[in-house]
Amino acid sequence: MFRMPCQPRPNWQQLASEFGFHFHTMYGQPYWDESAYYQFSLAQIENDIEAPTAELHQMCLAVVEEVVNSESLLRRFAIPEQHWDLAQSSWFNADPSLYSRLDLVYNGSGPAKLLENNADTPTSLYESGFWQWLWLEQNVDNGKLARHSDQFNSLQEKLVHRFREIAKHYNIQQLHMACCKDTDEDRGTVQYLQDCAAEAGLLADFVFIEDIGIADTGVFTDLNDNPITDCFKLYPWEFMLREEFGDALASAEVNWLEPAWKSVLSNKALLPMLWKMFEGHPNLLPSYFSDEADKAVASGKWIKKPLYSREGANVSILQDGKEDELSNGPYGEEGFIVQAFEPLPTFGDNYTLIGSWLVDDMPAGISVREDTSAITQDLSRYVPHIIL
Amino acid sequence: MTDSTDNTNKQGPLGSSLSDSNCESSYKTSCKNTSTSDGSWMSTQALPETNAEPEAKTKRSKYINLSRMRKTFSVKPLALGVASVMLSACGAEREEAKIYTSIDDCKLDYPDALEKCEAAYKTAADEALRTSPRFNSEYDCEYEFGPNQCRNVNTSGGSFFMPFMAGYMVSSLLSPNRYYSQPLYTSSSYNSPFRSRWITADGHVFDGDIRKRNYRVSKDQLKPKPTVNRTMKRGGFGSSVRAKSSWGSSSRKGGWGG
Repeated sequence: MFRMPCQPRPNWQQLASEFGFHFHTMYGQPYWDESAYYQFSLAQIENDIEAPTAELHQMCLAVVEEVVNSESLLRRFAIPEQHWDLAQSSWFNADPSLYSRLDLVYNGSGPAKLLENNADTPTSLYESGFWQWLWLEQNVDNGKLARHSDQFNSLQEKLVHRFREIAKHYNIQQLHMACCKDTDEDRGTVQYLQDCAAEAGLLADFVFIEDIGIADTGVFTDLNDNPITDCFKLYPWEFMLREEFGDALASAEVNWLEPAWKSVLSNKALLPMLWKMFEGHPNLLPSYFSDEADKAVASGKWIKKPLYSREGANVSILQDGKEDELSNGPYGEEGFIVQAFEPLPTFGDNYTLIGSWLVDDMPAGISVREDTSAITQDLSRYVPHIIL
Repeated sequence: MTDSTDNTNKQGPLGSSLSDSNCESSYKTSCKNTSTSDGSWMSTQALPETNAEPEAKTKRSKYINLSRMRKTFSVKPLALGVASVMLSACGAEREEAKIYTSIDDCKLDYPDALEKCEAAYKTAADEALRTSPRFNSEYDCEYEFGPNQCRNVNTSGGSFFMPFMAGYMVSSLLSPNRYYSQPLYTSSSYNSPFRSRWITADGHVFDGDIRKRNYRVSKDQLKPKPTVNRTMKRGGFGSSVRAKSSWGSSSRKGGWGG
């Protein structure tokens, strides 16, 4: 695993605008960064990332199975009681999932460690599945990269295939796709999924989350009053369950992507549960519910995170029992977990994080993100990768 | 049961020309579900030249259709999609269907199946409640359907106006498996394009005037119509974004992807 400097394609920004990649620069900061790339060996990809990703995912599913069958765990995971049935029935019905992203700490050798599972609303999908694919194709074509350079990235192929399977499962020709207003990044991600669904022969109608309505018949509706029967939402379950229309979820009978059982997986309570069930697994970091962690955190370095949080908010660091707040924020009312601190590897001045994608239960590629701070925030840069 | 490619000039029971006009006067894309592109064409496309070297095994997507991913200068979908929908709808199989304006009408045709006539009427009446066009005011409804053609309905979801069912279309009444029955409407309003014609709940206008009672219709026309939904409220999702976005930090606002 190396970080290789390289020459950006001279026309890449124009290309980005032609392909509708509008969030390569965000908040005045570069997000897509092709002044460098990461190079992996095939063995690193297959043995250290791909295989553990598949295994970690199966372990996560085992946790879901435990949790949906236990009222005390559902409570521990802060799933609102009136929605237990929603989460449980989506699991028992085997409602299909689309995708997820495991964040891994990996430095090129030794076991990758699971930091968290973005199982519900992962982004950086377009950059990974399409844009870095195009970067590789073009740099191979123009001779900048070796002809046999490859990339761990079958995301688009697998997403299209998965949409075909989902269409068949629910016997549908159409679905809705939704995200919040005022975010180019989320809208871009959803547009990409609309493109993938269209490639699979599915008609994908877009509606903003805020525009979803409820009809006299109990169904959710789009702005044309058409019923929403099947819907991909880039919006977290933990919000949906607690908002006003949450009460209507049960009777609206929507086939959601991701399905409601993902509310268990995208929850940081997953991490202590994994450690309870698979303690000592080489790809896991020791982790505890914070109210069960007194003994463990008395020594060593730990990260404390809320059950639900985004953008790295409300994170503290615990050093030999002493707590230091790293970031403030609005989260934490549902409780916290602690996780053994595992430093991100550094390449030059950069802290590097691997996002390992799954489409359903199949590993489908990686994204590499860099940050100048040790705990990755949302302002990290996306850097492409190759296998050589 | 019918020739699926040429049914426009056949003589019906009344000896009239029976073009059912399925493809001419439907003002909504009521047959859009017949579009069954499964998208599989992509996999049959030739690989582009850049991938011409047969590589044993790659870890990346083998082929991505770049022209489909391009957002500027891309034309097509809609017109193409609509055209193919219409074609497939025109080729669909047809069924004999008859329109009755009362239960007794039906009983005259089926003296041995009186209960079925009653059941078919009940089915149509129930369907009318579920699928008929709805209006906020009597004026709007009568503008479309004519004076005294509308009734007020009160449900838990609110009060609104819908046209009276003017008739019901029945097909395969004696079929042991399943008969079809759906409500039909007509208009006496001079403002309406379907004045004195039969129209379904989802807006399909049959050719000929309301004296015409026998049709050959595509199976899609006999399928149950979608439930009509009146949106009572919007904005019940998305409030967490506003609440959580306001805590203010250097962090990015907006997106909730992880």
